[in-house]
Amino acid sequence: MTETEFRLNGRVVRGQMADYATLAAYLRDNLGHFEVKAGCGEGVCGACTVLLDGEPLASCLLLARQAEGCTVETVAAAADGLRQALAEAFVRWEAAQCGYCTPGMLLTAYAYVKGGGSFDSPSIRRALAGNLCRCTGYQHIIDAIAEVVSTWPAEG
Amino acid sequence: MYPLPFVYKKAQSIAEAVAWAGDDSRFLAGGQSLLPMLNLQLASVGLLIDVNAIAELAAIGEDRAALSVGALTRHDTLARHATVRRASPLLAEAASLVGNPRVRRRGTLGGSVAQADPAAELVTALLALDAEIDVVSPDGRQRYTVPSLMLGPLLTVLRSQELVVGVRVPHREPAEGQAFVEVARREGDFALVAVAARLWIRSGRVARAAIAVGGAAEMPIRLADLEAWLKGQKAGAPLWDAAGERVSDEVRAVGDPFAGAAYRTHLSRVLVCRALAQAERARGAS
Repeated sequence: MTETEFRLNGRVVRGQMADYATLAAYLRDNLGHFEVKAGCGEGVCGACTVLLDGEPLASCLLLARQAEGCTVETVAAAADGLRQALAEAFVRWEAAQCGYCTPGMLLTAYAYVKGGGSFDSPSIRRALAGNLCRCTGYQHIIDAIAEVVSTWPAEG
Repeated sequence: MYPLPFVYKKAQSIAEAVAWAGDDSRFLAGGQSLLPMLNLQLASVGLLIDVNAIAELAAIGEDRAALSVGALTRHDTLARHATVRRASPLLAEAASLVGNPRVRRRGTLGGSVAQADPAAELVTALLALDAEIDVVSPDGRQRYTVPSLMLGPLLTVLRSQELVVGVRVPHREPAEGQAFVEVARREGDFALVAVAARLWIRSGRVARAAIAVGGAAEMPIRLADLEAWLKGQKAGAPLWDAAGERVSDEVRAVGDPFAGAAYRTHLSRVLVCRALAQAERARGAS
């Protein structure tokens, strides 16, 4: 166990972390952040996606101690305009069925739109290639993201 | 999602990392292959040595002879880096096809080499590129090639104290065209078969060819007989088709639950043909 500190959703988290705890396990088991979904453990499904210093990463393939000094955001981070717009578009397009993949989808979409991603379907599909939806509701997810991209002001 | 317990240490230099290494240690770079194995408890380790903080491992540079890429270079960086795209377009293209976007953001070139997956895009690319792989251990520095490094699927000659520090790739020559093509079941999957090709054409004839096939057999292979056969022949679509027909002489494809040996042999034939045609078109392109 080693004292480790990082920022989580705008707050400082400091605690004793087991060397072998993945960030996903630490966020869920120690901090109760169950919006970070436990999926495949192999980095394939995208359910455990978090933003590490703004970049979507699989929190199951990162050790909690590797987040030392970093900024970690889950889907529960305070909503800015873009997060809100994406969440509303997902609701409007009924882009969530069982909802298990939704936090990962939203965070991946957030980074995609913020990074200046294009609204064409092939680009969105490629960006979402690492997020699996086992309800296979992909089309509505892509439609929701495309709508936000086409209406969201590009960052300068 | 729960690895068996291990000790985690973060190294600040190459010397520190290799000094800590022992029989029961592994180096942790991007962790996109090692952590799945630890999470699924397919592997266990006593000491995990994190090399992510070692800045010199992430350098990309070039001299007259070659492009040098640090082992910690992320796939995403490799795919987008202007110097890499110019000096070795094949390597950049291969990197853009590795895993999903999260894997490419985190996974590293050195990690892919050390992991030695039979279907790894980057190992297949490095084999076609005649790349040299620099390794540091407490005994000093050593240079390998893909064939001298890789023993079999997920198996290399590297001992646990040996750290891959970088890769040297010869610059693409003006007469040389490069291509990297693959077929995967889904975007982001390992390739069922991937082909890396380099083609030198002078006065309408093949002056030299280098072709590597990954995913088909137990490790990526060079098609040395086909390369020799192509030499001196008239470049063009009929030759690429004829070359494809000869691929099955050299590729000893193996099947798995995703694709049988016959289908992998078929893909090898089609992709070699496609890669050669694409390499021909890519000549002189930057």
